[in-house]
Amino acid sequence: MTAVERPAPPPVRTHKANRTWVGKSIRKVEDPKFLRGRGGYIADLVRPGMLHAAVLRSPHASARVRSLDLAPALGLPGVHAALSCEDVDFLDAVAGFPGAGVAAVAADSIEQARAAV
Amino acid sequence: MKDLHPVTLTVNGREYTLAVEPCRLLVDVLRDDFGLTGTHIGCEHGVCGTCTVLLDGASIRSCITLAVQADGSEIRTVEGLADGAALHPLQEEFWDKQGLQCGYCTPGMLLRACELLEQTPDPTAEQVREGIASNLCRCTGYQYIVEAVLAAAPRMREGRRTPAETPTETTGAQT
Repeated sequence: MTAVERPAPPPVRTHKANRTWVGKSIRKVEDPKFLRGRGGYIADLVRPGMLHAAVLRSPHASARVRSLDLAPALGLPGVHAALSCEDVDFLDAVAGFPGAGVAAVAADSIEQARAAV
Repeated sequence: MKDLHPVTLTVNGREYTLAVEPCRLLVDVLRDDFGLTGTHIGCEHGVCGTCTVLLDGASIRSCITLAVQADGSEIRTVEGLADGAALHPLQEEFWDKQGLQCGYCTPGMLLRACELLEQTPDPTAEQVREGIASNLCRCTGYQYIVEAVLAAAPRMREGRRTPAETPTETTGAQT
């Protein structure tokens, strides 16, 4: 039987200061853009013809929407659409927490949308 | 006819003059009219602090401030913190100490910390915690933010910048 010559194992680096990556705090490459305010979030997107949305939110801890009249909102200037839970599933007929969305409006400007909810 | 009011704002040293409706919020003017989307909108009612900007050096919630109220004032936003390529000491330390993850609270947090260190140049950890209690962060658990502010304090006191130590910025995807 022939003895196999093995390469010497790499030195075990136990001291933290000798480590290259493990245990080191690494600066994240994407952080500078966030720190400079150039993160680029969905709310920062601008598109031609884009409308702005505002959501009517329930002030109640637990409540059921009995009726909702969207007509007054639709009659306001700049308003393109007013939606309830009958139109989209992100709005609730049963508002289970304060802040649950019950109606939403899309308008030319954010101010018009807020005024309509 | 819409009721428009002339407003002059100096934002990060640049003067803007525009006519605004009285209902326009300062944060919307900064973001939509000036394109300074670094100032974020969170709760929209002055609780979360992400819309914090400095108005004549004092932190305010730009989501509950009307643009007409800010007429004639100097405003500093997150875009005005860095000196060209050199990050502000607070930005550097937030980066180094992992003081951000998603980055959404960061602009408001930086400006509030900036004001805090102007008022209290050598704060204790407790004072930093109290000072940033106005700003919510759902990622970091605050510990690394406190460490970043404490690390930035001596650098701001000495007013020194160390551009040589600044690693090269990697430009990420931008809108």
